[in-house]
Amino acid sequence: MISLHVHSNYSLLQGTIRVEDLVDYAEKEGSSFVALTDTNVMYGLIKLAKLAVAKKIKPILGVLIDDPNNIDEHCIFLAKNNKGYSQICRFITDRNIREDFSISELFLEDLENMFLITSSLELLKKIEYTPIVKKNLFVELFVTKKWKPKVRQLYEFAREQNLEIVATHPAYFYKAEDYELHKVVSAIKKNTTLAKLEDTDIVDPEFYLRTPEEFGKLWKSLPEVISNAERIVKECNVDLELGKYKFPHFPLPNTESDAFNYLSRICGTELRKKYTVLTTQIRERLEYELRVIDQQGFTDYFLVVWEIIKEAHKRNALTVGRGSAANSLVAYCLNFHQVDPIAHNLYFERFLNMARTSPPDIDIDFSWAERDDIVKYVFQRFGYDRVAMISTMITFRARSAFREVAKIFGLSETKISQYRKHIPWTSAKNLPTIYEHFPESKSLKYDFTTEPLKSIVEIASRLSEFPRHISIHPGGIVIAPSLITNFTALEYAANKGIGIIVTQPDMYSIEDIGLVKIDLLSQRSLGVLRDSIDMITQNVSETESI
Amino acid sequence: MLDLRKYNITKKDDKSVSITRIFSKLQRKQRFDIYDYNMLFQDEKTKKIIRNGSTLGCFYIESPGMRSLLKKLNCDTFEMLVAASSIIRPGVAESGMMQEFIARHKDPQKRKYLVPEMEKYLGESYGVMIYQEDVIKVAHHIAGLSLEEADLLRRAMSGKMRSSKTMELLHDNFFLTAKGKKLPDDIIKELWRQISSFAGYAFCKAHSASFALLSFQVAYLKAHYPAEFLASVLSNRGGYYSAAVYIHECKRLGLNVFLPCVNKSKIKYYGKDKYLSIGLMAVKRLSRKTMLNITGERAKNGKYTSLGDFVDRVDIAPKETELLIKCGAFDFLEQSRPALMWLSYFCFKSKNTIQYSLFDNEEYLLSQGFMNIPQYQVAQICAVEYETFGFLVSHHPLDFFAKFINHKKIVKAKDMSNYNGKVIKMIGWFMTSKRIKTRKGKIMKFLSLEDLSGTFEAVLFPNVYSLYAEETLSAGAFGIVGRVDTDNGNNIVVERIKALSTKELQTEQTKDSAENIYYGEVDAVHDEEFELSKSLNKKIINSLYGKGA
Repeated sequence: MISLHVHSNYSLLQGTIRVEDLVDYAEKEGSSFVALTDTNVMYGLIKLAKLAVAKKIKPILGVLIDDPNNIDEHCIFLAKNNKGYSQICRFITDRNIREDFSISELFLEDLENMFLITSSLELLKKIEYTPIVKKNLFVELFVTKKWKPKVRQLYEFAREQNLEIVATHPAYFYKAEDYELHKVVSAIKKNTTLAKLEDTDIVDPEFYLRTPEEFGKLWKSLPEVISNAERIVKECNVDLELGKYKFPHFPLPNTESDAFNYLSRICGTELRKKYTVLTTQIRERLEYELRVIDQQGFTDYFLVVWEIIKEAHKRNALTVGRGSAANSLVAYCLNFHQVDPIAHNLYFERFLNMARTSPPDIDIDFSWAERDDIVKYVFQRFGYDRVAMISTMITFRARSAFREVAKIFGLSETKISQYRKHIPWTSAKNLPTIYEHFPESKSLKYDFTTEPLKSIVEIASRLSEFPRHISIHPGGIVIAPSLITNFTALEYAANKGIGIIVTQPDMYSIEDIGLVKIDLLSQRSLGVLRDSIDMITQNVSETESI
Repeated sequence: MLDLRKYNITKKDDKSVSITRIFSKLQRKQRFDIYDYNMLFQDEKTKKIIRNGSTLGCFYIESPGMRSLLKKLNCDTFEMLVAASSIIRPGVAESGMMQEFIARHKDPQKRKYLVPEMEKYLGESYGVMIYQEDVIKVAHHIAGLSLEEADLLRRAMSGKMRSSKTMELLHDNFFLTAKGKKLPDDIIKELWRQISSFAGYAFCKAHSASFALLSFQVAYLKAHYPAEFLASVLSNRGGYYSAAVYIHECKRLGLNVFLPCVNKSKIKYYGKDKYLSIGLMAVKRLSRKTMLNITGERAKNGKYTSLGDFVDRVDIAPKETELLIKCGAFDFLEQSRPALMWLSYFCFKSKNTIQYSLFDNEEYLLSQGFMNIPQYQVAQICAVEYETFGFLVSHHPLDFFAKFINHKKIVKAKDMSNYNGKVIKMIGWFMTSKRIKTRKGKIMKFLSLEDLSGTFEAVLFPNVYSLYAEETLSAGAFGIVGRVDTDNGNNIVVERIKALSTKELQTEQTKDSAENIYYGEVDAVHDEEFELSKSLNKKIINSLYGKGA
């Protein structure tokens, strides 16, 4: 038995466990399952599921949601099945996006498909105990020196109210000694120095991963809490169908009944426009490509992209296609790009073939001024509830890790930027010996091997690849076949102004869960082309009218 | 001649060729169709600037390395441009593939084809498999794999599947089908070796081709309409280089660069014929709203006749007005900038009291001797320009190093090629830099520099770089002692380097190829794909060996 309540480093600047390490830990301890319950986010859930399934360990997918107005009211939601997973995605989305969100209203939802685990007495005293809540709710019990009195209260409350109880152990760091790292990230989060960090800013020093032996010993006298945990694990069975595509549906016009016929007809018409002489070779190639596209299930996807491009061109936007799509005659006919694949002897198989299991990448560049307009169109055309921009997770690299850690040690900004200048773009792992790796870092040798910088770079290197904050992917947009929140939670991309909603998982997780992305990127040179032509047109007409 | 614009009638342009394509709006008036690729590919002026590497500002082909490669290859066709932009990818150049291609390009004797038939497929690249599509072609047409399997082979070779067990299956199939095509064993072996050495670095041709079309389009614009083109590059906030580099490029191309002017400037940069006028957008700290106020009011009620008139008509803060005065946006008033600064103070003071007409006041003040306040010193003007725009307009920063640059021992960029193989001294101003990791894992740097006569590349090989790395963290003027590269007269191989100014590199060093070694496009490959492709290829194997085999 290991804990059902675990925070990875995706509980940003709070948890310090890497998802990879968590899965390895479960394997090492011989656990049949591994759970992840980050605070208000699901950044790591798909990754956890993927890693766990690969090791034949059951992933328990969950989240800890707290109340925005009172963080002492919180509850863990664990998905029993796919429906529960979708619901959790929606709960997280609500928590992040809705301004009037309050946790107690979640208890009015249909909670049949999830387990609820909470150690918040305040919440327990507040919620409405519907039969479903009663059935799926567990009062969370764990043992640490600090929490003892509170947990006793919880236990008594559960007995009084006749509520189920379960043993967990909130984990925010891997080993007891990683408490130090938790303090470091907490100070970064609080934007304060280590010296000024207060007790309320950090969690219990005992919140590390407890081993199955520890669990056994602690709860010997109350076996019920362990067997309840086991029952929860047994009843949680989410299958995200990783690797299986969830293609968007193309809404056919009323006059059409079949997507493949429709796509074929569009391509046929365009083909006659592109080639004055239609050879058998060209015709056969088009038919062959269409067949492969259809057999691989991409027909709707191509129609979706076609409609986006068509609308862009209708609005006089300039586009250029990137990636391997220019190998395809179909893509040429649909105006995804302007390269004639026949004339330039390009191979469709490089783009798509029957033996490929990965989706083709269709990336379109727009001038930066016109792109936002098209993105907006995609939301309108395919539905705000089905479309989202993809996020990207900014992680700690050498420079950022150094800066943040040096700051919490009280180093001045001037001093920090002096050192930073000598740190090239590299992994934070290299920091302690950076003067050996890079010629421009040579002069750091003395300082980096002397206190306090010695400790600073040591600690900073441990933050290597830690997620720092979420940002927006430069162009990735995803269209889901049904509600987007059935697959992923959403949040605001804070750094890009209000209004842009992004998926919580990054592009890799989005790909793993099978949603197909389209890249609509912004390309300055198209802006240059547009502006030049406009200016020339204007200048020429002015000259000629004189 | 009658000015038709006055009557709001647009003149019909009979000479224009209107081609309605998907981008119909672009072709209404000008006499060329920027989407007529055949015209672009044959345009002499365009070909010439590509061939000469005069492509600063042109999408995808403006980096120093690319411009030097274009010159080396004497590249002026679309096909060659596609090849050039593929082989210059980070990592590829270091793999030796680029050098091999250049050698074969220059010397037809070196073009080798393992099997004569290969010339048909790889003739365009002289037998070097520079494209991922080439790997597919060879594996399919020469060795007889199915196209699916050929693509799988390409992907597997570029990724971590390279040493896997399933890869062995592919290897066996390759030898089997190649044998079926009656190729001798040693040739098959060599073919496999070549594919494995090229596959990892090959680049997607379709991608390069798509981008190269845009390169040709913008190169055409630069060749024929440099003023409009560079104005647009600057308005779109440049590409590979900082704005300063493009401003200096304008000057090298003989364009007059005008400072912003409240009576002439638009928000964006504007270019025509032989001049480029800097847009209001270049004035840092001037709010977008103010820019719109200035241009909007001017369009509505005409030019500003005095500072008072401007202050009266435009909703603008005193600070912003001072910013504009200091950078020369009121020079048309023919007063010294310090005088205008004083005047501005009184203008705003009286704007707030509205006791008497601003115009009377201004004339009065000017008659009181404000005219005699002398102009700022040159150095101060430059300092203001740098502070306001981030670049210098009235001077090149190297002008302040006159003592050095005019020294007779200092060689100018345009004269470098006269010193091939010799050790010379040069002075250059920072344009951009590139750090790379060599095949042996050592770090080196290319510094792109310019002097008043042109641009050049300072190459710091690892042994020299390890000594001067920290010296090259600055972004101003550099003094260099080095040997002119015999192979490329525009490169100087640095022996010693010194930063002459204390200007620090402004931009954060971000990702560069020293950290991100490029191993070609690494696509994901899954084991099941090997199984899939194996089943697909059964037909070919059967046809080769018959059912009994």
